[in-house]
Amino acid sequence: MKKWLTYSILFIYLVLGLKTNADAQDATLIFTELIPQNNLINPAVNYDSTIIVITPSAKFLIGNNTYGLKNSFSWNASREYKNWDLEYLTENARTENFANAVINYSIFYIERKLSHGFTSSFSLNHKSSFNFLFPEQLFDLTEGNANYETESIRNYAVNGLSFNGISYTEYSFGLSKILGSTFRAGMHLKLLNGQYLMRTKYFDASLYTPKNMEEATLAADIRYLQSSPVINNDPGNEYFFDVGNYPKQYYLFNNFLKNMGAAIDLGFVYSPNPKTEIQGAITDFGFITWNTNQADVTYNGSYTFKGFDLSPSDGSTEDFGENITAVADSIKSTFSPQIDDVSAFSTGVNTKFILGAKRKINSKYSLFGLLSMHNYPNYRNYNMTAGTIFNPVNNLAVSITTSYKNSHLGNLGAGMRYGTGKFQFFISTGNLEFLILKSSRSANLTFGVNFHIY
Amino acid sequence: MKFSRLSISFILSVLFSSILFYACKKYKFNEITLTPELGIHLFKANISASELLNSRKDSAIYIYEDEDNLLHLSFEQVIDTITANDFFENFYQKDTLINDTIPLELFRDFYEVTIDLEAKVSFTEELDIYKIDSIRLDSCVLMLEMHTDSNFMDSVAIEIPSFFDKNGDHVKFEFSAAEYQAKKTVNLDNGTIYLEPSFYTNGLVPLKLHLKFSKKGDINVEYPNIRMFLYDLKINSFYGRFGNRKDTITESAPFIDSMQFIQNDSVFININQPEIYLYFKNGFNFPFDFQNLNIQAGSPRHKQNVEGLPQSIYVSAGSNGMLGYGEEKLSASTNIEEVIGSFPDSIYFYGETLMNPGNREKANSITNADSMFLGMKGDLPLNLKISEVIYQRKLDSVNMENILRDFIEAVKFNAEFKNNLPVNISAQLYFLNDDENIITQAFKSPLEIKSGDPENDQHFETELSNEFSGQILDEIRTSQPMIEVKFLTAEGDEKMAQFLSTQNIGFDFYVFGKTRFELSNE
Repeated sequence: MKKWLTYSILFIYLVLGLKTNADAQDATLIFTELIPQNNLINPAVNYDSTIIVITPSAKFLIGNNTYGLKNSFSWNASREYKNWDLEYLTENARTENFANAVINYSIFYIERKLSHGFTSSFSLNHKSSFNFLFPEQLFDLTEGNANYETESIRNYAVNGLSFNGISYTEYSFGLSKILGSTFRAGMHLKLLNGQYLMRTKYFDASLYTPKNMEEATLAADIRYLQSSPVINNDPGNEYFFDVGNYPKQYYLFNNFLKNMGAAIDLGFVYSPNPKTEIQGAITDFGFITWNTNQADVTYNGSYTFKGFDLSPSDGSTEDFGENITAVADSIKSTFSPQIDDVSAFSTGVNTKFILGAKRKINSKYSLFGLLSMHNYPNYRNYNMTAGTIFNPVNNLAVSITTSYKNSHLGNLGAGMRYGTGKFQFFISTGNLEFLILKSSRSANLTFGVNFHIY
Repeated sequence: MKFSRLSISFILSVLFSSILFYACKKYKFNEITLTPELGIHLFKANISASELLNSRKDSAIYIYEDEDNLLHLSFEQVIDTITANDFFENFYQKDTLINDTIPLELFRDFYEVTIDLEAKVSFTEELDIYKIDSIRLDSCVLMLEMHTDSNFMDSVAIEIPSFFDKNGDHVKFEFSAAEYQAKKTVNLDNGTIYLEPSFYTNGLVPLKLHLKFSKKGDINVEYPNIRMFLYDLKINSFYGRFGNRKDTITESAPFIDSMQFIQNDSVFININQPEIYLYFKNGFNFPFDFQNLNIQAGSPRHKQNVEGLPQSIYVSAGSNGMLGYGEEKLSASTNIEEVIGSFPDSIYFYGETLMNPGNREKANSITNADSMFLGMKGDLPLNLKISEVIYQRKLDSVNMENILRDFIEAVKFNAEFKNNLPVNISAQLYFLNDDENIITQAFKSPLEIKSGDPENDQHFETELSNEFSGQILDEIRTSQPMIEVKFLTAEGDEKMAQFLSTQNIGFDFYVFGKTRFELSNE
């Protein structure tokens, strides 16, 4: 009883206090025993042998807590393609909405069996994560400051919006040990090399128009930290956005021993009997110290438009083109970012937590469940997945899952692992319904091939 | 078997990639269409009475306020300029001043003769050289043309004691025996010629001649002579005694050219106690007296006399670069308001000038740089009555495409006015097509803004305008806007309207618009 209490406290602590990340695809990877991929999620899992695996594999994920992904687009008949359906997005916005995207890929995995039950490993992986949190007023803002039909005024305040992105390469050194016949623990010590960071500190913006329409005031107070050559300023302090600069910081030879950090993964596998397996892990618990192109960016200003003043004593001209240009220049000047160089700063990476269990029903069927949480800098995303694995033949495992994630039940997942020995192909999604349901809030896919070259 | 597994893996990867590519092909993630509806205080103005009236940034016409805050329109305008050319017009118009002949037939019967004699040639008949003593020249050419026979002429020397070159030397010519048929010229640039008044002619030029002739055979030239030409004249100045010289000046000049936007043929204007002056500014170095003044205004077909002109105006002499001055006020009975109200495009001036009146014998000079300005100036208290004035102006500087940008799908607007000017205003904004026909009007009906007073603003708010969208909006985008304003002092009110510095008119223009932005990062 005492043990369960301890586990419960640990679970609550991890769920509420740590930054964790996992999803239904992970469940499939974990419980269909795709070891190199599983090792990334739980360092306690490995081959328990000396092996070199080329692992060209990738994970794509987009999701949000509010919208059906396909519902978010509508057919543009004049252009014959689909683009964003702003009316749907506006009508269905929640008080708080988040969206996230993940692109991870792995390159290779090396494992060496050591004495005394130890196993060491090394893998090279790249992770990118982008998440966006926005209040419903963001879309209200797109409706403008007036109702054309009723000639009435609308006012808006958009507070709490944030955008966070991080991209880094990890050099993962692992060690695991068999502790008795039923328990195995493992850890990764990871050296991180950051390529890109954007971290919103605060975001307050408003558009206010009094009923008499005498004036309209646009105000913004925004601050974020960045480490990126993408958003830059030239010697004249002109702000510009240049994606072409991104590779300058992307490749290791441009970024050697800069933006360095460290992280630790901890995990365990507990098999109280041959049919039951319990796994738990914390991954990516660490930080990166950003010391390349780091900047503290603030937008702080207020601009009130009271109408072009055509009074003879005022500087306005009769040329509206000139006047509009002057207003645009004023707004641009008022809301120009102040980009201050700052000393190196550290941010956490997006830690994830999983806790799951699998129960073998018979030689062909297993049931499993997985709890996970991904704690982004601005919100936590909780996932719960339940599923079954079917092994019709030795070389094939097929999984079916259902999960609660992105504040939504009914996510239907499926996965497949084909092959054993030196070649494996796998593909997994946590949202199979995405192919047929417009209301699916997530789309994701993990796929790859493992080549055992040693 | 290994190959088979690899192939299956490869096929599955390609199949997945193809599905993913096909699924994404029909989506545009980087485009979004925004349709915000906007309500904007587009423009505003607060224009004081003085700013409204003093729209011309011209120092010659300005508005000022007196101690009672009453605005006055002060103006000063040169109507005409009188120069030396107006007094000695024939000198400037003629290119050749002397074209005369000294006959030599008298000497053809002598076998030999040597003689000194004096002769005189006259200026051309059209010249009026009344009391001109001398003329200083900027440039001039004097030419003598010998027309004799080789069997007759030995030598001829001619001296003109009244003509001086730029060095102050007398002009001299010498012809040898061989130059019996020759032309010789002397350049008189910056020289001086003296004129000898004559009762019978326009003036004479004395010449001293030394002639030597001897007969050597048959003489073929029937009428030997010497011809004298003075031409290519550019006069610098005249010297003489011009006192009591009387000339008639008849001039015309453009008058009111800034009423091009007024649609009325005429406007009734009644100004309380206007003060209008005729004035002269004199650059000549002697005084003038202007008499028998007559001013008409209008067009060549219809002229109207300006009444209440002064009988005469004495103008003092200018000296050392300072202009002399003289002015006289138009009498209270003048009809100048009525004349101005008919917007005459020209003014016609007639007057007699008496130079240096009463001082007949004093030496004077006139240079070609001397001039005199005839002007009119006035102080008009803006305490007046005015009949309806219709002002129409195409707003050339307003490009509607700059206002109604492509992203605007529909607009409607209204305007608010606060008026305490003492005039009723009616205004409308029209949109014209290329043929200058009205496409539509901005407001459902003209804005009728009543006159107010300093303590009581007149508020006026328009109805919301018609909605402009679709085809009519496209037509407005390419149209030329034209504003029409009608204003008049309160109708039927005998009280004069007083424009005070404390009065103003303010307006605010609000727009509601539907917009559409196609945003793309491509």
